[in-house]
Amino acid sequence: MDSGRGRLSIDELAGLGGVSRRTIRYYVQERLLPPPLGVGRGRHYDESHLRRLLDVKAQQEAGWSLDEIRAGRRQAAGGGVELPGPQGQVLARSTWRRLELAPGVELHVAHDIRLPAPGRLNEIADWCRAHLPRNPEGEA
Amino acid sequence: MNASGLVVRGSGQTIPLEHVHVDARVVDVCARVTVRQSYRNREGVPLEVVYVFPLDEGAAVCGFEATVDGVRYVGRSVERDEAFAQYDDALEAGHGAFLLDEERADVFTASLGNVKPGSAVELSITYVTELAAEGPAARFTLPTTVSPRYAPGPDQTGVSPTPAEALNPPTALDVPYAFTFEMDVAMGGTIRRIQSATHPIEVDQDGARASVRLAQRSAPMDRDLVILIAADGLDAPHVTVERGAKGSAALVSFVPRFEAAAQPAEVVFLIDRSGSMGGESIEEVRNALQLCLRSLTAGSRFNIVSFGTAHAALFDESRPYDEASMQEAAALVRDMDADMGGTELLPALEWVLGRKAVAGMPRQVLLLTDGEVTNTDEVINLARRHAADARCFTFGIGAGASQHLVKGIARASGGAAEFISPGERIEAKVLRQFARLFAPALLDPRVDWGQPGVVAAADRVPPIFSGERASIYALLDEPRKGSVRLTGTLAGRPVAFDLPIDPAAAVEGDTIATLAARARIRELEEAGEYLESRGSLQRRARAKAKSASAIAALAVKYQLASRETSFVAVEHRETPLEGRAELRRVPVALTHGWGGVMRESHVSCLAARASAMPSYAYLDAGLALDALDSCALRVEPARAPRPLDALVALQRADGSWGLDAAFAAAVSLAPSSAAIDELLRGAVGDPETARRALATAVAIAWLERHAGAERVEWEMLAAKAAQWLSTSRTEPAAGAGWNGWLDVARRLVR
Repeated sequence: MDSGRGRLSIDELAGLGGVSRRTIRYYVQERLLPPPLGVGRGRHYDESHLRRLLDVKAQQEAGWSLDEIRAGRRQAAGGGVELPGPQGQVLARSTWRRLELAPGVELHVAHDIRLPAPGRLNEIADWCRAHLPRNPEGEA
Repeated sequence: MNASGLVVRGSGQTIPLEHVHVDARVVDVCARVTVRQSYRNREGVPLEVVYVFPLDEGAAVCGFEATVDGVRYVGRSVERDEAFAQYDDALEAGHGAFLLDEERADVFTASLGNVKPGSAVELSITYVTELAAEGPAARFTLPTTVSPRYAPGPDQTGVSPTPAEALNPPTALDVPYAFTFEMDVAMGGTIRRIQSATHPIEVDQDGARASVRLAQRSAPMDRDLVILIAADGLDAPHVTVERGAKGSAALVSFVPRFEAAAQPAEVVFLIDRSGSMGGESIEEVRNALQLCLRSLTAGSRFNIVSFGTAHAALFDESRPYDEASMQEAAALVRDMDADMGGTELLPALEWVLGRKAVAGMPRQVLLLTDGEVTNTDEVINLARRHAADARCFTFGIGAGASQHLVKGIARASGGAAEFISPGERIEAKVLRQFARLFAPALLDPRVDWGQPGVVAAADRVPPIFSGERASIYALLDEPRKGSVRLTGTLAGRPVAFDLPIDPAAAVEGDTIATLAARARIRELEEAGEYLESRGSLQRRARAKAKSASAIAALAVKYQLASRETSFVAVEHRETPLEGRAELRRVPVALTHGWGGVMRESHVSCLAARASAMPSYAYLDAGLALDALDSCALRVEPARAPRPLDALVALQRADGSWGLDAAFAAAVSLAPSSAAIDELLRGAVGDPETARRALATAVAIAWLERHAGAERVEWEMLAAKAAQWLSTSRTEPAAGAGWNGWLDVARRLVR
C-alpha cells in the first residue's frame, strides 16, 4: 500500500474491511460503494472507500437491507442514520464500524470518530499480528 | 442498436442472454451434457453479465469455455477466491473474463466481464451425471430455472452477497430467451420406451439407440425437462471399469431384490404449506396424504406436521393408528391449503426430529415440499445429525423443486427421494416411497473391492432398498481381474453379493473417474464438519484448513466445479477496455405453476404469497409486484376428483368400507335395499360385520375392474382390506369362506 498517498489495493481494502473481494465488487455493483479511482492498472481505493465499506457492512450486519441502506444514505449525509419506522416514527440507530485488524482482533469505532489514515491503520494491524498471535492451544 | 424483444420493460436495458442449447449423450445410466449459453451485447457500452442458473444436482461440472467472436478461451478450475481474484484483476485491467461459481450443488452463477459492445459470447458448460432410477426406468432431468427461494432471517443478514441474494436471481414472468435440446441415447439393451411428462418430444429409435429432441423448435425455460428411458438390462448387476486421462475408475451398479416382512413404524408427515405450494402442488399433496392415511399398517403410530412461516402438529405426540386418529387426520387433510406463508423448514424439521422417539419403533419422516429455501446446508446437516434415529423420505414437488435439498436430506438421513413434475401423478410415487418406509433396507452396505490401490468415492454407502439401483464408485491404481463383494445387514442378518470385475472389458473415457471424484467431493461437502463451517467468515476461515482444502485439492486435480473451486477463463486484450462495464443481471423465468400461478393466465393473491419471498426476486427484471396484477395471470383451477380418490377417502382405518349412500355413490352401485338384503340373506357371522364385508369386497372388485392402471396406488390399501376380510369371521350364504364375498362382489361390479 502506498500509505503516503492513502491508496489501497482491493486486497488491502478487503483485508481492512474484514470482507472478501466478492463483497467489495458486489457493493460496487449495487452502487453502495463508489467504483475505484483511476483507470486500468492504476485503479485503487482510498480512505473514503474504507469508511463507506465499514458503514455498509455495519448496517448490513445490524439487519438493514440493501434498500434500507441506500435509503438511509440518501437521508443522512454523515452521522447516524434514521429510517422511518412502521408507524411513521423515526428509528434512530447508532452505527459502528468494525475493522478486523488481525485474525481474532477487531477495532470498533463509532460512526462520528474519524478513522486514522489507511497507512496508519496498516501499521496498527501489523502491530496486532506481531504482538497478539493466535493461541495454538485453541480458541478457548 | 436492435434490441427488439430483449429490453427489460421500463429500463431501456437489454437482456444479453439470447438462447440456450443443450446437448446430452446418454450411455446406460450416465450422461454427458453440454449447455451452451449464447450472449450478445446489443448496447453501446461494455457490460458485465451475471446469470444465475440451475444444473442437475448430481452434475460433475468438468468443462467451461468461452467463445468470444469466434475465439475460444478454455477455463480452469482453481480455488474459489483465487478464481474470483483472476476474474476481478482481469476486469480491472480492461480484459475480458469469464467465471463459473457453484453456489449450491444445483445453482450456479456465470459471470461475463467486460463484454464489448456488439460482441457475441458463447459459454459452454459441460458436466457428467448419473441418471436417477425411477422404478424400472432411468430418469434424466434438466432444470431450466431457479425458483424463488424463501430465505430465513439468518440467510438475509450478514455481508453481501448473502445466500438470499446469491440464490434469488431477478425473476420475470416471461423471458426473451428459450432453450433447444437434443439427446443421443445408447443403452446396453433394447430401449422399451422413452417419454416425457413435461415436454412434447420426438424420438427416433433403433434397438438400443435413440435420438431425442423437443417437438417444438424451442421451449420456455420455466420448468424442468424430465425424460424417462426404459430399456432392457438396466437392472443387470455389473462392474464397469474405465481407463482414461484421469486414471482408472470403476462403477458397481446393481439392483438387489430381497423380501422381508414389513415392520410397524412411527410415521411423521411433514407437509410444506407455504405460499409457493399453492394450486396443483397442494392438491396433489392432499390426494397423496389420503392414500397414505389409508395405507398405514396396524400397530403404527403417526402424526402430521404442517409448516410455513410457523409449524403446527395435528397431535402433541404421534398417536396409534386407529379409526378415530385416522378420521381426525383425514379431516385436516381435506381442508389443507397452501396458506401458511414462508418456508421455515429448518425449525419444523428440528421440532419433528427433537421429539422423544417411540420405544422400539423406527421414526420415518415423509417430507413433501417444493424445496424452495436458501438454507439447504443447515437443513441437510440437521437430517444428518439425526440419521441414527430418523430416516427422511422426501418429495420434490413442482416444476422447479430444489434437487439439492430434496436429495440431500434423503442422502444424509438414509432415506430416499422422489420428484413429481407437473403432468406426473403424485399418488404412485408417494406410495412407492411409502412402501420403503415399512420395508427393511440393506443397511450399512460395504464394498470389498478385492484388490489393492482402491480409493472409494464414499466412506459411507447409503441404505439400499429392494428393487432400486445402487451405484458405487471408486478410483483404482491398476484394475485387476477378480470379484467385488457387497455386504450389509438385512433385517438384522448379514447378506453378501458378489460381482466379477474384469479389466479386459475396460472402456476408454473419464466419465466414471469424474463421477467418482464428484461423489467423493459431495461426501466431503455434505459431511458435518463442512456443513457446520458454512457461516461467518471467522468460522469459514477455521474450516479452510480441513475439509474445504480437501475439496479444493480434489476438484482442482480432477478439474471440477465445487463449493470451494470455480472455473475461470481470461481473454487477454491487446487494447484493454477503458471505463467501467455496466452490470446486467439476467432475469430467470418464474417457475411454471409456482405458488399456483400459471402463465397465460390472474391472480390477486400473488402479492400476498410473494411477501414471503425476497421482493427483489421480481424487481430487477422490471416486473415490480404491482405490475403482476396487470399481467393476466391465472390460478389454475382445481382438477376434478377421481372416482378412485372418492372411494379411497371412505376406507376405514381397519381396512374395511361401510355400506352406506356415500359408498354406493363412489362405486356407482345402485341396487335397492331389498337386493342388498337378498345378497346378505343367510350370510354367516355378525349381520353388521357381514354388511361391511360385502362393501369391502365390492370396493376391492371395483378397484380391480375400474382402476387397473393405478394398481400401484391402491395395492397396499387393498391388501389391508383383504386382511380385514380374512379376519371378519363372515362368509356369504353360498359359502367359499371370506373369499366368497369377492365372488359375490365381482358379479355385482360392472
